[in-house]
Amino acid sequence: MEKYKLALEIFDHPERFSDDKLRELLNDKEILEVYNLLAAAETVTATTESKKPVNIVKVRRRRPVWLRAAAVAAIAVTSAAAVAYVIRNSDRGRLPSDVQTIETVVTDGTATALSLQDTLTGKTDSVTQAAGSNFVIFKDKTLESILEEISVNYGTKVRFENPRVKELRLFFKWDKSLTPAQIVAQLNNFDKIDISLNGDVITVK
Amino acid sequence: MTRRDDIGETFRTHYRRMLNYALTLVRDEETARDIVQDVFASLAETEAGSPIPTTFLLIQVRNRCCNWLRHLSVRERVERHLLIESESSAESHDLFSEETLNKIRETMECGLPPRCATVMKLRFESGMTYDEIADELQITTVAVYKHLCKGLAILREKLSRYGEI
Repeated sequence: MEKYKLALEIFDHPERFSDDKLRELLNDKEILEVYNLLAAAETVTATTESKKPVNIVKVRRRRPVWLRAAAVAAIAVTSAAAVAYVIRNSDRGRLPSDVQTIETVVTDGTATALSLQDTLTGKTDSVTQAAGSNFVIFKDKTLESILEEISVNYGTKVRFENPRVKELRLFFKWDKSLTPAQIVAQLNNFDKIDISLNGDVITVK
Repeated sequence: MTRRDDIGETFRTHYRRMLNYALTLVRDEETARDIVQDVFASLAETEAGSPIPTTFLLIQVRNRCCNWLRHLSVRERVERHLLIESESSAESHDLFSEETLNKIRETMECGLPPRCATVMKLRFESGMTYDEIADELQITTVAVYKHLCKGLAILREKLSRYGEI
């Protein structure tokens, strides 16, 4: 445990060590492993909470300018914030567990529009927020009703292979500017939902 | 499907995941964006028709992050709480993979004894000091250290069992 304490000391108070001492201590396999676990724990916590990682230092990096005349494509990628609650209505006998649980899934909270052309030419990123008027909010609606409405909008069909999944209730914020494939990807973030899109058919397993 | 279509599809599908992974390694948003953009720029040079698997993309991100990190001194890396490569390892890219980071996240969420998990949560999610955690939980600072060390030991043991460390 002595090495664990050293690793904690290095992590919390690096100023107490000289450069040489840091290098020497981090050459020890065990101390290095524990230190890296600390760094990883902090990192995964930061991304889980959708917070920016702490101790960010802006480093001005000279970006190379990539001029790819042959590879020109403008692609808009948006991912809108979606917060959903899955409420398992176990007391209605719809699902096997007899414990009512609430799972909260927070997907990516930022909306980003990034042109691939900009990427290839090394221009500064342009980041824009998705327009609020494109959002439809489903509050405590069944998956069946949500997919019905979404499929009408996109001209797709919905097929449920598992009838029980129809009754899952969700809070879902639908960004109408997304493609069906993107919507499916968002919904697949939930553990209990397994959706695929083949052509114009959305299949829910 | 042309190469441009491939890259476009890859961009739509994987950009966010690649960016998040780069962020976990370099902890700097601008650098992470630069790195991911460099990966896409390099894809444009590859031949049309060849598939672009996810693993390949993430390895490209990781390699470029490693290169960037190598330019920082040990002190700079520690001060930023960045992952550090082993200098003695023959493997040039030791940093945790995305899967390993997910395993760490999973273990912290549901693989630790309750008191360890609470201490870890207060330390990393809430950013509390050891004294503050001790006050909050009505335990001694020494006990906070012990729970933290125990949590880390469990994490380490699980990762070595999977060969990730």
